[in-house]
Amino acid sequence: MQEIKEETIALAGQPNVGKSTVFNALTGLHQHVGNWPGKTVARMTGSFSVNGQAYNVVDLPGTYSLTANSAEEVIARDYVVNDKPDAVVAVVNAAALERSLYLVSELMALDVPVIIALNMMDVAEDEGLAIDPRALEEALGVCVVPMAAARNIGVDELAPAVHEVVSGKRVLTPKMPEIRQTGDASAEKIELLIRDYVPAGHPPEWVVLKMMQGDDMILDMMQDKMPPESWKKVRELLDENRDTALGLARDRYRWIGQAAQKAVQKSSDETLSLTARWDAYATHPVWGGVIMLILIALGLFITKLTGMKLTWVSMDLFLPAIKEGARNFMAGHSPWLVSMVADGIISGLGVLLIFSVFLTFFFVLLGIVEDVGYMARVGYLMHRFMRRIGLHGKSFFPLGVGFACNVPGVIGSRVAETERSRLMTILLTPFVPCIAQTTVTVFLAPIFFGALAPLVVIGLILMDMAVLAVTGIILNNGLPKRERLGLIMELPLYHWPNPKTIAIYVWHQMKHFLQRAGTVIFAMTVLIWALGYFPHGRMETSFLAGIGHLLTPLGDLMGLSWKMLVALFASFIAKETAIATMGVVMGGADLAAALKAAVSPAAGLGFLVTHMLFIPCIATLSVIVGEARSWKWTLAVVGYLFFVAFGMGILVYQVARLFLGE
Amino acid sequence: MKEIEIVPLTDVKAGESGTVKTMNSGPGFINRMAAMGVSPGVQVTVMQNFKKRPLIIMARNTFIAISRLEAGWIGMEAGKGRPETGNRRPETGD
Repeated sequence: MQEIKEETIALAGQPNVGKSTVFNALTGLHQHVGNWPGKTVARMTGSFSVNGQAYNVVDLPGTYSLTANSAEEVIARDYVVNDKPDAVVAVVNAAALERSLYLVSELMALDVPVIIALNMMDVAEDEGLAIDPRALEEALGVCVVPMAAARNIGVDELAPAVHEVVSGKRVLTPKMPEIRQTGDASAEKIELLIRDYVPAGHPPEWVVLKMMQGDDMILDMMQDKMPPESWKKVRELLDENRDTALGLARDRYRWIGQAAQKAVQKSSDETLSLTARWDAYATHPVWGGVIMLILIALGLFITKLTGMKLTWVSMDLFLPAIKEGARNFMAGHSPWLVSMVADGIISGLGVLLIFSVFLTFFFVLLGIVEDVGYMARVGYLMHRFMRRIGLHGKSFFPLGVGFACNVPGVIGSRVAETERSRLMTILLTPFVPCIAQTTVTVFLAPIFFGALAPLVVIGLILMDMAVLAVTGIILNNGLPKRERLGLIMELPLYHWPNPKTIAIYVWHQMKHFLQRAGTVIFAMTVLIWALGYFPHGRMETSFLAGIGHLLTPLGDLMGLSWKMLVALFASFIAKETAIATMGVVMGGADLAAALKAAVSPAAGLGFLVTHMLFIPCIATLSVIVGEARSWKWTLAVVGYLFFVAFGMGILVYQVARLFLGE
Repeated sequence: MKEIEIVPLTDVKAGESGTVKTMNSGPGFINRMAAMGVSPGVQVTVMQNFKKRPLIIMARNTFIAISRLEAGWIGMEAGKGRPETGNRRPETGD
């Protein structure tokens, strides 16, 4: 039997070219999600085989170019240059052929066999474009496979085409991009100077181009490798050719244009596409906002109805029964074991189940919004508002979702395009009051403030928003790599959601959630149970209460007894637990009366302020750890929230005391 | 012969198109725009241009939202208008 080596191919493509659909079609469910080393960018790998030859597929992040503009672009470029895949499949959008060939022209310069997956042929046709794949193949000297992956057309031909190219059965001579008309003489001089110092795997011609394009990473790399005097000469030549980027862009498109001209026939050019007609409303300053609000309201309604309500109801109905069943079943065992199973383990699993159902619905909605192309419009509409706090418009979505629940908010930060804005979105989400936090406030405010309660609730939510904004500004100034948040964003063509793409998306997200956050949520629930149970089996005398007692001096500053502090700390399990805990520690049948007697309005206000800003619940904390991939940042945000929550609580209490009395 | 007049992209009204002549910015911006399809010589149609809002433009069959500051760096040779796409108010200015 013949020994077969596994081949590795990379899948590259600009955003909005249907790359994930092609990836799914190519690999089916043979997929694995991880992260690029040291990055929060997801790394998808998969596999397929042709005639017994196994292929690994590495899905590179979607990037417009291979210049070092973002973490994603560096990842994609470094992978192709350093890991040398056996071939790169470049997914190209036939409906925007010239623009998507830009990336292809950059890939071809990297001395790697390229196969073009000419996707979205159907969309191109709808847009009045007829494209001849054979003519394109001829013009570029690169294997071209036409397809409409979303409709499952042509994808079966891709794998055999890859196999033919990689196994050498089909040899094509790429017609390399001629992009040297501009600054040609200088380019040659630079190439001569750097030739001996270019690290292995980097084609010198390509390095020269990148240097002339002002690519900082490549410039730094070469400065590092070269003796200072040669570098000085290179620097001088580069400075003489400062305008080269513009010329290079023109030359690159001249080459692309020549190829496209041979392959594309425009049948009609005057029809305004469906996308433009819809966007007349969807991105309109007034109508766009109205449409967005309606869709958000609808989304929250659906999520709440199907996700939360359904699960809460079933949990309220079934969880107590299951716990009771477990207690009866285990009768006779030691009480702590029974309590651990019933109140710790079963509760933990219950919480996980609730979140799983809720998150599944959420991800389906998110997947649809993203897949049809609407997410970019939200980003556009909210950009002006969000940039003030240092975020991109797209981050509005996860933060908005945070009002329902912080968990999907943190996970939804994946819509942010750069690592930096993603981290910022993750860290800011806990400042959004979730529905449980708001519920607790709505329950308590009338007890302390009577008719003024609605004003207090609105004021508290506005306070949260203000703290979020200030924190955003601090983070934006403090984090490295501050970007000017100018908006340059593609608004993809609208299209029907692809059920398969969304199903696979939801599947991956849920798997990720259960593996990363799920285990932590479960473990933490059991841990908190233990703290609340031991050593005597009663909450009032437990370690958790002990922590509350330790904080008595802090409580004094806020006019709160240790009981209220314990309730505050119990909200770490889940925000709504605060009320239940008050019920336990305050004792008595009428919680409202007990609270009214024990807590002054000033102290009540201080408590609500602290509660609204308090550290995130276990579930949120777990996803922050999973998503930010950094305990350092997670602990920093918890510490900060802790500090701000008590700081604001004390401040508000002390000031309110002057007006409202003790 | 009439002299070619170069105007910033922000001055092109919604529904009108023109040709990109210059891009007055550093290589970072030029590379980024080029990768999204906007390069010297390309025809750009302004789809939306509301006061104080980012513009929406179309070039090489790609719709791009771009902030006013960045759009101002792009110098256009204004071409023929396309009034039939004018279901947007031709409102401009900063």
